[in-house]
Amino acid sequence: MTSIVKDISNGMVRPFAKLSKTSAKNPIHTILFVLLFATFAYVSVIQHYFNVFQLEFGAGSSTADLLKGCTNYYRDASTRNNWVQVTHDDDSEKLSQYAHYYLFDLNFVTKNSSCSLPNINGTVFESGSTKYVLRDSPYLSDSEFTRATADGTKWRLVSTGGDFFKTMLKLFKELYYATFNHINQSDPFDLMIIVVAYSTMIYTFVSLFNDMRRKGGSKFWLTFATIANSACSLFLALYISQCILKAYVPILSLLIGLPFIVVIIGFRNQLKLTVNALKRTEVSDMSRMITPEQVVHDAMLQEGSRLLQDDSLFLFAFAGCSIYAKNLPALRNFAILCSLIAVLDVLLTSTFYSAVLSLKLEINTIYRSTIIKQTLEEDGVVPTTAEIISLTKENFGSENAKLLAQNQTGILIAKLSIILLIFFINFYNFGINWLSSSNSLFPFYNWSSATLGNGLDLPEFIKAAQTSLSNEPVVISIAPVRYYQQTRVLHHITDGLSESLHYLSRVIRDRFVSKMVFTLLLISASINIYLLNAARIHTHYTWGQLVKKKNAILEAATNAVSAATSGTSTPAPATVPEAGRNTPPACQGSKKSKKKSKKSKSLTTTTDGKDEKTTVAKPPQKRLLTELEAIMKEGNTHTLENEEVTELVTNNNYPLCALEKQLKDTTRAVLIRRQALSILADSPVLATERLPYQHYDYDRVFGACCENVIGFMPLPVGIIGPLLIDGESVHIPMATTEGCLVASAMRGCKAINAGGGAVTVLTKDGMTRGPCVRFPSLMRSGACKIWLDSVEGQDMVKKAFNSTSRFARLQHIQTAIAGDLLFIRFRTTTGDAMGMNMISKGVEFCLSQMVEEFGWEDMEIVSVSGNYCTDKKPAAINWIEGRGKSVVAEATIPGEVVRKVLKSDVKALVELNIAKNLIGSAMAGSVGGFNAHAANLLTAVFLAVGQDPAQNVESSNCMTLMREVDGDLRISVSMPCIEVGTIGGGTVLEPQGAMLDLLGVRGPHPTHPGENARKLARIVACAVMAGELSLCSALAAGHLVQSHMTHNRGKKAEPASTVPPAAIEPLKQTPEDLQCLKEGAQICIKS
Amino acid sequence: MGSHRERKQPQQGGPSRDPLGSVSSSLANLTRPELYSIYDSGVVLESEGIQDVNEAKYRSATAGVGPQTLRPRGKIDATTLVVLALSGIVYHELARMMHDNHKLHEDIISRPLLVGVHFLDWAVGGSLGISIPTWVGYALEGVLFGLSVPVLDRYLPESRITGTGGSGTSPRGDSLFSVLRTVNSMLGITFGIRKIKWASSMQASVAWLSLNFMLWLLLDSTVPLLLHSATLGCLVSALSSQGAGPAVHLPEVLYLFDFYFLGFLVFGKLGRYLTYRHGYTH
Repeated sequence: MTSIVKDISNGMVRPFAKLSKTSAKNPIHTILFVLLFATFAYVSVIQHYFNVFQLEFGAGSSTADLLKGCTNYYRDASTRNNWVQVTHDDDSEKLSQYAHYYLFDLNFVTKNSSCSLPNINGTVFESGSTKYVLRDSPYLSDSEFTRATADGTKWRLVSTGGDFFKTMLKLFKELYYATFNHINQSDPFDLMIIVVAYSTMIYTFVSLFNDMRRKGGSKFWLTFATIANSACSLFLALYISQCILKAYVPILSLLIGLPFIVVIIGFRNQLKLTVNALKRTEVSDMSRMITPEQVVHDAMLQEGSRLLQDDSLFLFAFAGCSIYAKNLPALRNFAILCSLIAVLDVLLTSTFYSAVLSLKLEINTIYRSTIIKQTLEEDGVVPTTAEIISLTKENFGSENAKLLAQNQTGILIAKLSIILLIFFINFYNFGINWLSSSNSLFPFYNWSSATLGNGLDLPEFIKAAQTSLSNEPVVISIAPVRYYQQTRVLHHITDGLSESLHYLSRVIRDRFVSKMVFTLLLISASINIYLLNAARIHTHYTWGQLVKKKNAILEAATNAVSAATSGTSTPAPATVPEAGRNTPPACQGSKKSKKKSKKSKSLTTTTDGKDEKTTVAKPPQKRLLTELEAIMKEGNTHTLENEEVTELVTNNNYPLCALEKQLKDTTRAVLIRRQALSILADSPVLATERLPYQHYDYDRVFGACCENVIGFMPLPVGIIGPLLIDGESVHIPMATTEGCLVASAMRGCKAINAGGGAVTVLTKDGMTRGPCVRFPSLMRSGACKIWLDSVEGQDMVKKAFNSTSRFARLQHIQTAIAGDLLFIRFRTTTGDAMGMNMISKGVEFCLSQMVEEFGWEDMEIVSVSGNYCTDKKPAAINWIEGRGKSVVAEATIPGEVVRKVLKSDVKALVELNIAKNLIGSAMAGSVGGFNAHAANLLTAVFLAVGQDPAQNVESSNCMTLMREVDGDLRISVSMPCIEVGTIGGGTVLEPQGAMLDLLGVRGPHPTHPGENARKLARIVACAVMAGELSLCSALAAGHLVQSHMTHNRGKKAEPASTVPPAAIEPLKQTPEDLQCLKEGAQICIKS
Repeated sequence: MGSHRERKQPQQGGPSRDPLGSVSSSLANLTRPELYSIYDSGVVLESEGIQDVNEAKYRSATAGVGPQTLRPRGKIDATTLVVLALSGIVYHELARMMHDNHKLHEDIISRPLLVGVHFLDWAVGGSLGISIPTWVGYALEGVLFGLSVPVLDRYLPESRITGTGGSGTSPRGDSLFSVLRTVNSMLGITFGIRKIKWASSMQASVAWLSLNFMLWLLLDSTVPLLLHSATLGCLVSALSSQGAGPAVHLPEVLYLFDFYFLGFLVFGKLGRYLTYRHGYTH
C-alpha cells in the first residue's frame, strides 16, 4: 500500500515540478500574484470575521455597511405602534421603504462638568454629558464638534470612551472575559488538549526556525517564506470555503482546530525541499551549467513526491470526512477547509515557495561569486584574475548570475528588487485595507454592542415621544455610541498623525489615485522584473562585450600580421586547420581559453606540435630591428609577428616577464617565451612540445600562480575511494609519480570502509604568521610582550587586524622573546582560503598600528615573517600549537578485515606501530614524524587539489596510533597542522579545481565560511590514515621480506613463464600461512 | 577478492605476463617503484578496487558517529521506562475521558486497560505475593505497549521497518516531531469525538475508523506497526465484546478498535523514538 501511494505520488509530481520550474524562472511574477491573491483573500476573510461598524462614514462607506452596524427599530400599524427590532438582512425591504432616521448617541467624556458641550443640529435629547442626535441621513460631520464651544472647548472623536490605554485595557478585558467565560464553560480535559495542541504548534514553529538555520542555512527569510506560504494557503482556503463554497467555519472552531492542522501538515516538506535545493547548489559539479530553476525543479522532483503524498492523504481523509459527515455542518465545513488547505499547500509550495527559493539561490550565487572575488583579492590574486575566476567559478548561476556578480550592484539590485516588492505590496495592502476606515487604529476592535450583543436598546425618550413622530411607518437606526473628548496637546500630535494618515488614506481612496496606486504597484512589479531581467541582459551583454573585445584585439593582431605578411593592404588569407578538435579533455581550460588558444594558433608560424601546424605566409620582407623597436615603443607589440617579438626579446630589447602584458594574450606569450629561451639558453628542447603548453588557461596563472611561464608539468593523477568519511562517501584524487602509493591507499580505504568508515574531529582551525620585531632595549621588548599578552592588548590588536579583512578573524596572539627581539605569532581564521597572504596583510597593518597608534613608536619591524609561524619549515611549535587545521581521524577495522583485506594481524600491527612509528621515531629525535609515510599521501593529495606542496613539511606532521579493541584494530592519525584552502593558490587552476569539485569542496562554502577547507583537511587526514594502515599492514605482514625472497628466488631459479601459476601462489589464507607471515613481519622489524 | 593467479603475475615477472608489456622483467624490476617491494602484488593489481560501499555507508549512517561494526540495537534506559510509564498513566486517563454524545460513555474505553491491570496483578503480583496498585499497573501497561514494537522490530529486516512517516533523525525514522504529530492527531480526534454533536455513535466510530488508516499512512506507514496495532486493536475489541460485564454494541466495539489502534500507533512510535534516539549501540 505504501509503495502504491509512493508510486502514484512519484508519477504525479512531474507536473508540479514543472510548475515549480516555471515559477522559479519568473519568481517576482509568481510572488506578486500569489501575494495579491492572498492579500485579497486575507482582507475578505478578516472582514468576514470582524465585520464591524465603522465610526465614520466617508466616501468609501456605504449605507449598507452602516446599516449592518446599526441596531434598527421600526414601527407601523402592524406592530401596533410598538417598536420592533429588525435586522438589516431580514428586513431590508422595510428599511428601504419606510421613513428612515438615524439616532446618534454622542457621549462627551469629561471630568470637568463645567465644560460646555457643542451645539449640534438635530439634538433631540440631552442628559448630562450625553446627547442624542436624530438625523435623516447617516452622515455626521466632524466639523460640528471640532469648532470651539462658547468657553473655547474643542471636542474630538475618540475610538471609545477612553484614551488609548483605556481602549487597550478594554480590549484586553473583553478578551480576558471572553476567554475566561470559555474556560469556565469548558471541560478542563478539553482545555488541556488545546493547551497541548498549542504547545506542539509552538514547538513546530521553533523547530522550523532551528532546522532552517541548521540545515537550510537561512536565519530568517526562508523560515518567514515557509510560514507565509502556509498562511497564504490558510487565507486562500478560508476565502474559498467561506466566500465561494459558503462553508462558514466559525472563528472558535478555527482557533481550536488550527494547531492540530499546523502540527500534522507541518513544514518539513518545505524544509526538505530547501535543504535539497541548497545541497544541490553546494555540491554540484562546477563544470555543469545549472540554473536556479533547474535546481528547484530537480529538488521538487525528488522531494515533491513526499509533499504530494502527505497532502493527498490529508486531502483524501478530510474530503471523505466532509462527505461522510455532511449532516454535521461544523465538521463538514472544517473538513472542507482542511481539504482546501492541503490542495493549496501543494500548489503554493510549487509556485510561491519555489519562487522564493529560486530568489534565495539566485542571491546565494551572486553572494558567493562576490565572496570568491573578495577572497581571491585578499589572498593576493590580481583583480583581473580574480574576476576571471569568480566569473567562471560559479557552479550553477548561469551566465547571467556570473556576470551579475561582476559588480556589487548585482546584489543591490537583487535585494532592492525584493525590498521594493515587499514595500509596495504592503503599502498597497496598508493603503487599501487599513486606511479604508477612518478610524484606522481600531477598525476591528470596536467592540460595539451591535456586534457583540443583541443590539442597542431604544432609548426611553424615543418610546415616550411616540406622539412627536407621526404615525407613519418609520425606521430608526441606532448607531453605536460615539465618544468625544476634550482636545489636548497629546491629541494635537495624534491628530496630526492620524490626519496625515487619514489624508493619505483619502488620497489613496480617491478614484484616480487608487487606480494610480494600483498602476504604481504594477509599475513597481514591472520594475522589479525589469531589474532582474536587466541584470540578466546586462550580464549577457557584458559577457558578449568581453568576448567581443578579446576577439577584436585578436582580430586586429591577425589583420596586422596578415598585412605584414602580404605587404599590401589586402590581407593574405591564412589557412588555419581545425586544430584541437581531437584535443583530449584533460588539461583543458575554459571555453574562453580554448577560443583564445585557437586564435593564438593562427598567430604561430611554426611549431613542432602536431595540431599547431599553420600555413601562415611568411612576410616577404623582414623588418629591421629598429622598425620593430619603433612599433614596440608605440605600444603595438601585439601586432608584431611571433618571430619579430622573439627577435626583440633575444636582442635584449624586451624583458621576458613583460610578454603577457604587452601581447595581451597569455598563451602567445608562453609560446614566444619558449621560442626566445630556446635561442637564449640554447635549449632546443623548449622549441619542441616535450614540455606541453597548449590548451591551458594561462589567464588564471597570470598574476596568481606563476611567472615567466613556459608551459605546465602534467602529473599522473590516481584516485582512491570511495572512502566513507563521517558518513559521506568520498573519492580522493592523488597526483603522484610513486607507484604503489595509490593502490596501497586504495587497500586502506577498503579496510576502513569494511569497518564502517572513518570519523574525524577538527580541534583547531587557525593559520599563523609570526613576525619579528626589535626594540631598543630588553625592557621595551618585555613591556610590549606583556601588553600583547594582556586582554587590552589582544583586543586592540584584534580590532585592528579584523578591520583588514572580512574573512580573517584574529583568534590569538602568542609571543616569545629573545633578547630585544620579540616574536609575535598571530593565529587567525581565514575562511576557506589557506590564507597566508590574507594574514600577512593583517599582520602588516597591525604592526603599523602598533607603531603609529598603540604607543610602540620605537618598535622596529625586522621581518613580517620571523620564522615563528612556522611556514614550510619543520618546527616544534607547529606540532605542539597546531597550524592551519588540527584534525584527528579514527577508524575501527574489524579483525577479520585486517586478516582478509590487509593480510596482516591486529596484534602484529599494533606492535609494529609502537616499534616503528613511536619508538623508532623517538629514537630518531623526530618532531611530528610519528608515522609511516603521511607525507606521501598528503603531498599526493595536495598536488592533485592545488595546495601548496611546500607546506607538506608541517602538514605531514602526524602521529599514527593503533590499539586493539575487542579483537578489532582501532587506528587513528592526529595531524595538528594541515594547511589547506579551497580557494586561492593552485585551486584557481581548472584541473585542480575540478578535483576539488570531485570532493565537493571547491570555492568558499556558501553558508559557513571555512567549512569547505575544514572538510578538505578531514579528507586529507583520512587519506593519510588509509595510507598508514596499508603500509603498516604490509610491513607487519612481512611482505617486504617475502617479496625480496621471491625476487631473489625468481632470478636464481627459472623463468617465471615456466612456473605454473598455481605453484607460485604465495598467499594461502590458512592459519599456517598467517603464522608464517607474522613471523616474517617480526623478522622484518628485527632486521 | 580477485584470483591470486592474476595478482601474482607481475611478481614472478615472466616477459609474456609482465604487466609492463614487452619490457623485460629485469627492466621492470629496476623501474618498479620503491614501495612495490613492500606490498603484496595483490595491492597493486587489485581488481576489485571499487567495492560496494553501501554496506559501509549503512553501517556508518546507522551508527551515527562512525565506525560501528555491529548490528543495530535499541537501548532501553531509565528515561525510556519513565516516559513510557507516564504515558501509560496518561493513556488511561485519555481512555477514561473518552465519550461522545451518544452511546459511548466514560469508562467503556478504559475497561480493557483495567482488565489488563487485573491480569498483571494476578500474573506478576500473584507470583511475587504483592498487590500491584492500579496506577502502577497502568504504568506497566505503558511500558509494555511502548517496548513491544521495538522488540518486534529487532526481529524484522530493516527494509520492513523503514517507513515514510518519520522526519528522520532517528535511525528508524521516528523523530520527536514525528511522535508529537501522532500524539497531536490522537488528541485532536479525542477532542473531536467529545465535542462534535454526532448523529450517532456509529457515525463517529466509522469516521474514526476510516481516519485511522489514513493516519497510519500519513504518520508511519510501516507494515509491522500496522499489523501490531491492528492485531492488538482487534484483540482488545473482540475480548471486550465477548467478555463479562455490560453488553457492548457494535459502535462501542468499533470505538474500542479505533482507540486502541491509534493508541498502539502512538506507543509504537514513542517506543521506537525512545529506544533508538541515541542511535545504534555496540
